[in-house]
Amino acid sequence: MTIAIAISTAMLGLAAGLSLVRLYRGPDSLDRILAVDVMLVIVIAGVALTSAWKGQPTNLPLIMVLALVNFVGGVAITRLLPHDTDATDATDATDATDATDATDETVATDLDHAGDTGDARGPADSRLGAAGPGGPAAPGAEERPS
Amino acid sequence: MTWSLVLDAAGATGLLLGAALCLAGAVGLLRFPDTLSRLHAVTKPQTLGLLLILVGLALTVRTWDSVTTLLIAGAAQFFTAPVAAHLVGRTAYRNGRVDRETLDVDELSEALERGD
Repeated sequence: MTIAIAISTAMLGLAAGLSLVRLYRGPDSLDRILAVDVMLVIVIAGVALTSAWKGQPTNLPLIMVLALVNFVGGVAITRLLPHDTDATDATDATDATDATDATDETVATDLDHAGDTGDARGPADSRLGAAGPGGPAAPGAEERPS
Repeated sequence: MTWSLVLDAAGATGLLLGAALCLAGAVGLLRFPDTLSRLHAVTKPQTLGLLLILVGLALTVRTWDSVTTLLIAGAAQFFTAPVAAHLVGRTAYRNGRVDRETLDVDELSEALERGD
Protein backbone atom coordinates (compact mmCIF):
# COMPACT_ATOMS: atom_id res chain seq x y z
CA MET A 1 0.00 0.00 0.00
CA THR A 2 2.84 2.41 0.78
CA ILE A 3 4.54 1.80 -2.54
CA ALA A 4 1.25 2.06 -4.43
CA ILE A 5 0.41 5.38 -2.84
CA ALA A 6 3.93 6.72 -3.41
CA ILE A 7 3.86 5.81 -7.10
CA SER A 8 0.33 7.19 -7.47
CA THR A 9 1.33 10.47 -5.83
CA ALA A 10 4.31 10.80 -8.17
CA MET A 11 2.09 10.17 -11.21
CA LEU A 12 -0.48 12.69 -10.06
CA GLY A 13 2.23 15.28 -9.42
CA LEU A 14 3.58 14.77 -12.91
CA ALA A 15 0.08 15.06 -14.36
CA ALA A 16 -0.47 18.31 -12.47
CA GLY A 17 2.81 19.69 -13.82
CA LEU A 18 1.84 18.81 -17.39
CA SER A 19 -1.54 20.47 -17.09
CA LEU A 20 0.22 23.50 -15.60
CA VAL A 21 2.25 23.73 -18.81
CA ARG A 22 -0.98 23.66 -20.80
CA LEU A 23 -2.38 26.32 -18.49
CA TYR A 24 0.55 28.54 -19.35
CA ARG A 25 0.73 27.78 -23.05
CA GLY A 26 -2.89 27.26 -24.07
CA PRO A 27 -3.55 29.68 -26.89
CA ASP A 28 -7.17 30.12 -25.90
CA SER A 29 -9.15 30.61 -22.71
CA LEU A 30 -10.90 27.33 -23.39
CA ASP A 31 -7.64 25.43 -23.20
CA ARG A 32 -6.96 27.05 -19.86
CA ILE A 33 -10.44 26.10 -18.66
CA LEU A 34 -9.69 22.48 -19.56
CA ALA A 35 -6.34 22.65 -17.78
CA VAL A 36 -7.97 23.98 -14.60
CA ASP A 37 -10.57 21.21 -14.85
CA VAL A 38 -7.80 18.60 -15.01
CA MET A 39 -5.92 20.16 -12.12
CA LEU A 40 -9.00 20.16 -9.92
CA VAL A 41 -9.62 16.49 -10.70
CA ILE A 42 -6.01 15.81 -9.74
CA VAL A 43 -6.57 17.68 -6.47
CA ILE A 44 -9.60 15.47 -5.79
CA ALA A 45 -7.46 12.42 -6.51
CA GLY A 46 -4.75 13.74 -4.18
CA VAL A 47 -7.22 14.21 -1.34
CA ALA A 48 -8.45 10.66 -1.98
CA LEU A 49 -4.87 9.39 -1.78
CA THR A 50 -4.28 11.09 1.57
CA SER A 51 -7.51 9.59 2.87
CA ALA A 52 -6.36 6.17 1.70
CA TRP A 53 -2.96 6.68 3.30
CA LYS A 54 -4.42 7.55 6.68
CA GLY A 55 -7.30 5.12 6.37
CA GLN A 56 -9.65 7.75 7.83
CA PRO A 57 -12.83 8.93 6.05
CA THR A 58 -12.42 12.47 7.40
CA ASN A 59 -11.81 14.18 4.06
CA LEU A 60 -14.59 12.57 2.04
CA PRO A 61 -17.05 15.51 2.15
CA LEU A 62 -14.21 17.63 0.76
CA ILE A 63 -14.00 15.27 -2.22
CA MET A 64 -17.73 15.60 -2.84
CA VAL A 65 -17.67 19.40 -2.64
CA LEU A 66 -14.65 19.67 -4.93
CA ALA A 67 -16.32 17.50 -7.54
CA LEU A 68 -19.35 19.80 -7.60
CA VAL A 69 -17.26 23.00 -7.59
CA ASN A 70 -15.27 21.63 -10.52
CA PHE A 71 -18.36 21.47 -12.67
CA VAL A 72 -19.88 24.78 -11.62
CA GLY A 73 -16.66 26.74 -12.05
CA GLY A 74 -15.91 25.37 -15.49
CA VAL A 75 -19.41 25.93 -16.79
CA ALA A 76 -19.60 29.44 -15.33
CA ILE A 77 -16.40 30.61 -17.00
CA THR A 78 -17.39 29.00 -20.31
CA ARG A 79 -20.74 30.74 -20.28
CA LEU A 80 -19.24 34.13 -19.40
CA LEU A 81 -16.41 34.17 -21.95
CA PRO A 82 -16.46 37.22 -24.21
CA HIS A 83 -18.05 35.94 -27.32
CA ASP A 84 -16.50 36.14 -30.74
CA THR A 85 -19.07 36.26 -33.53
CA ASP A 86 -19.56 33.24 -35.76
CA ALA A 87 -16.93 32.70 -38.41
CA THR A 88 -19.75 32.24 -40.97
CA ASP A 89 -20.80 35.88 -40.59
CA ALA A 90 -19.66 37.80 -43.68
CA THR A 91 -19.01 41.10 -41.92
CA ASP A 92 -16.50 39.39 -39.65
CA ALA A 93 -14.17 38.13 -42.36
CA THR A 94 -11.25 40.14 -41.00
CA ASP A 95 -12.01 39.16 -37.43
CA ALA A 96 -11.97 35.50 -38.41
CA THR A 97 -8.32 35.90 -39.37
CA ASP A 98 -7.70 37.67 -36.08
CA ALA A 99 -9.10 34.60 -34.36
CA THR A 100 -6.06 32.61 -35.47
CA ASP A 101 -3.65 34.73 -33.44
CA ALA A 102 -1.91 33.00 -30.61
CA THR A 103 -2.86 35.42 -27.84
CA ASP A 104 -6.00 35.62 -25.77
CA GLU A 105 -7.79 37.76 -28.32
CA THR A 106 -11.44 36.96 -27.64
CA VAL A 107 -11.61 39.96 -25.30
CA ALA A 108 -10.11 42.30 -27.89
CA THR A 109 -12.44 41.10 -30.65
CA ASP A 110 -15.46 41.66 -28.51
CA LEU A 111 -14.36 45.21 -27.73
CA ASP A 112 -13.92 45.81 -31.47
CA HIS A 113 -17.47 44.70 -32.06
CA ALA A 114 -18.76 46.91 -29.27
CA GLY A 115 -17.60 49.88 -31.35
CA ASP A 116 -19.05 48.54 -34.61
CA THR A 117 -22.57 47.74 -33.58
CA GLY A 118 -22.96 50.53 -31.08
CA ASP A 119 -23.94 47.97 -28.48
CA ALA A 120 -21.82 47.11 -25.49
CA ARG A 121 -21.91 43.39 -25.73
CA GLY A 122 -21.35 42.28 -22.19
CA PRO A 123 -20.78 38.81 -20.86
CA ALA A 124 -24.49 38.10 -20.76
CA ASP A 125 -24.57 37.59 -24.49
CA SER A 126 -27.56 35.48 -25.38
CA ARG A 127 -25.50 33.77 -28.08
CA LEU A 128 -24.06 31.57 -25.39
CA GLY A 129 -27.49 30.65 -24.10
CA ALA A 130 -27.86 27.03 -23.25
CA ALA A 131 -31.11 26.52 -25.16
CA GLY A 132 -31.68 26.80 -28.87
CA PRO A 133 -33.96 29.87 -28.73
CA GLY A 134 -30.93 31.91 -27.73
CA GLY A 135 -29.60 31.46 -31.25
CA PRO A 136 -32.16 33.22 -33.47
CA ALA A 137 -32.13 36.41 -31.44
CA ALA A 138 -28.40 37.00 -31.71
CA PRO A 139 -27.83 36.86 -35.50
CA GLY A 140 -30.83 39.10 -36.08
CA ALA A 141 -29.71 41.55 -33.42
CA GLU A 142 -26.20 41.57 -34.87
CA GLU A 143 -27.32 42.61 -38.33
CA ARG A 144 -29.95 45.17 -37.44
CA PRO A 145 -27.68 48.20 -36.98
CA SER A 146 -25.50 47.41 -40.02
CA MET B 1 -5.26 -14.45 2.96
CA THR B 2 -7.81 -12.52 4.95
CA TRP B 3 -10.51 -10.31 3.52
CA SER B 4 -8.79 -7.12 4.64
CA LEU B 5 -5.60 -8.08 2.83
CA VAL B 6 -7.46 -8.82 -0.40
CA LEU B 7 -9.44 -5.60 -0.21
CA ASP B 8 -6.32 -3.59 0.55
CA ALA B 9 -4.60 -5.05 -2.49
CA ALA B 10 -7.62 -4.32 -4.66
CA GLY B 11 -7.77 -0.77 -3.32
CA ALA B 12 -4.09 -0.21 -4.03
CA THR B 13 -4.59 -1.52 -7.57
CA GLY B 14 -7.49 0.86 -8.09
CA LEU B 15 -5.45 3.81 -6.85
CA LEU B 16 -2.53 2.94 -9.11
CA LEU B 17 -4.67 2.48 -12.21
CA GLY B 18 -6.61 5.65 -11.52
CA ALA B 19 -3.44 7.70 -11.12
CA ALA B 20 -2.04 6.21 -14.34
CA LEU B 21 -5.18 7.18 -16.22
CA CYS B 22 -5.08 10.71 -14.81
CA LEU B 23 -1.49 10.95 -16.03
CA ALA B 24 -2.56 9.71 -19.47
CA GLY B 25 -5.26 12.37 -19.58
CA ALA B 26 -2.79 15.11 -18.69
CA VAL B 27 -0.31 13.90 -21.32
CA GLY B 28 -3.12 14.00 -23.88
CA LEU B 29 -4.08 17.50 -22.77
CA LEU B 30 -0.52 18.63 -23.40
CA ARG B 31 0.15 16.86 -26.66
CA PHE B 32 -3.07 17.08 -28.65
CA PRO B 33 -3.13 19.79 -31.30
CA ASP B 34 -6.64 21.17 -31.09
CA THR B 35 -9.15 22.30 -28.48
CA LEU B 36 -11.65 19.63 -29.51
CA SER B 37 -9.02 16.88 -29.28
CA ARG B 38 -8.01 18.08 -25.85
CA LEU B 39 -11.65 17.76 -24.83
CA HIS B 40 -11.38 14.03 -25.49
CA ALA B 41 -8.33 13.74 -23.26
CA VAL B 42 -9.84 15.78 -20.46
CA THR B 43 -13.15 13.98 -20.19
CA LYS B 44 -12.66 10.29 -20.89
CA PRO B 45 -9.44 9.16 -19.15
CA GLN B 46 -9.87 11.71 -16.37
CA THR B 47 -13.36 10.52 -15.48
CA LEU B 48 -12.42 6.85 -15.49
CA GLY B 49 -9.24 7.57 -13.54
CA LEU B 50 -11.13 9.49 -10.90
CA LEU B 51 -13.77 6.76 -10.64
CA LEU B 52 -11.07 4.11 -10.21
CA ILE B 53 -9.36 6.18 -7.51
CA LEU B 54 -12.66 6.60 -5.68
CA VAL B 55 -13.34 2.87 -5.91
CA GLY B 56 -9.86 2.17 -4.58
CA LEU B 57 -10.48 4.59 -1.73
CA ALA B 58 -13.81 2.96 -0.92
CA LEU B 59 -12.09 -0.43 -0.78
CA THR B 60 -9.42 0.96 1.57
CA VAL B 61 -11.68 2.85 3.94
CA ARG B 62 -14.19 0.15 4.49
CA THR B 63 -17.23 1.96 5.88
CA TRP B 64 -20.69 2.32 4.37
CA ASP B 65 -20.80 6.08 4.97
CA SER B 66 -17.76 6.54 2.81
CA VAL B 67 -19.32 4.47 0.05
CA THR B 68 -22.35 6.77 -0.18
CA THR B 69 -20.23 9.92 -0.10
CA LEU B 70 -17.89 8.62 -2.79
CA LEU B 71 -20.86 7.50 -4.83
CA ILE B 72 -22.14 11.07 -4.85
CA ALA B 73 -18.71 12.44 -5.79
CA GLY B 74 -18.27 9.86 -8.55
CA ALA B 75 -21.76 10.46 -9.93
CA ALA B 76 -21.14 14.23 -9.90
CA GLN B 77 -17.98 13.84 -11.98
CA PHE B 78 -19.49 11.20 -14.25
CA PHE B 79 -22.65 13.09 -15.15
CA THR B 80 -21.23 16.60 -15.33
CA ALA B 81 -18.18 15.89 -17.47
CA PRO B 82 -20.23 15.50 -20.69
CA VAL B 83 -22.18 18.70 -19.98
CA ALA B 84 -19.04 20.74 -19.42
CA ALA B 85 -17.39 19.21 -22.49
CA HIS B 86 -20.42 20.00 -24.62
CA LEU B 87 -20.38 23.64 -23.53
CA VAL B 88 -16.65 24.02 -24.14
CA GLY B 89 -16.94 22.36 -27.55
CA ARG B 90 -19.79 24.58 -28.63
CA THR B 91 -18.00 27.71 -27.46
CA ALA B 92 -14.85 26.58 -29.27
CA TYR B 93 -16.85 26.10 -32.48
CA ARG B 94 -18.57 29.44 -32.24
CA ASN B 95 -15.38 31.30 -31.46
CA GLY B 96 -13.80 30.03 -34.63
CA ARG B 97 -11.36 27.78 -32.81
CA VAL B 98 -12.27 24.80 -34.97
CA ASP B 99 -10.83 24.31 -38.43
CA ARG B 100 -14.00 23.56 -40.37
CA GLU B 101 -12.06 21.85 -43.17
CA THR B 102 -11.05 18.99 -40.89
CA LEU B 103 -14.63 18.12 -39.98
CA ASP B 104 -16.32 15.26 -41.83
CA VAL B 105 -19.85 16.06 -40.76
CA ASP B 106 -20.69 19.58 -39.66
CA GLU B 107 -24.23 19.85 -38.38
CA LEU B 108 -23.74 22.83 -36.14
CA SER B 109 -23.09 25.30 -38.95
CA GLU B 110 -26.41 24.39 -40.59
CA ALA B 111 -28.18 24.79 -37.30
CA LEU B 112 -26.54 28.16 -36.74
CA GLU B 113 -27.49 29.38 -40.22
CA ARG B 114 -31.06 28.23 -39.73
CA GLY B 115 -31.01 30.14 -36.48
CA ASP B 116 -32.09 27.17 -34.36
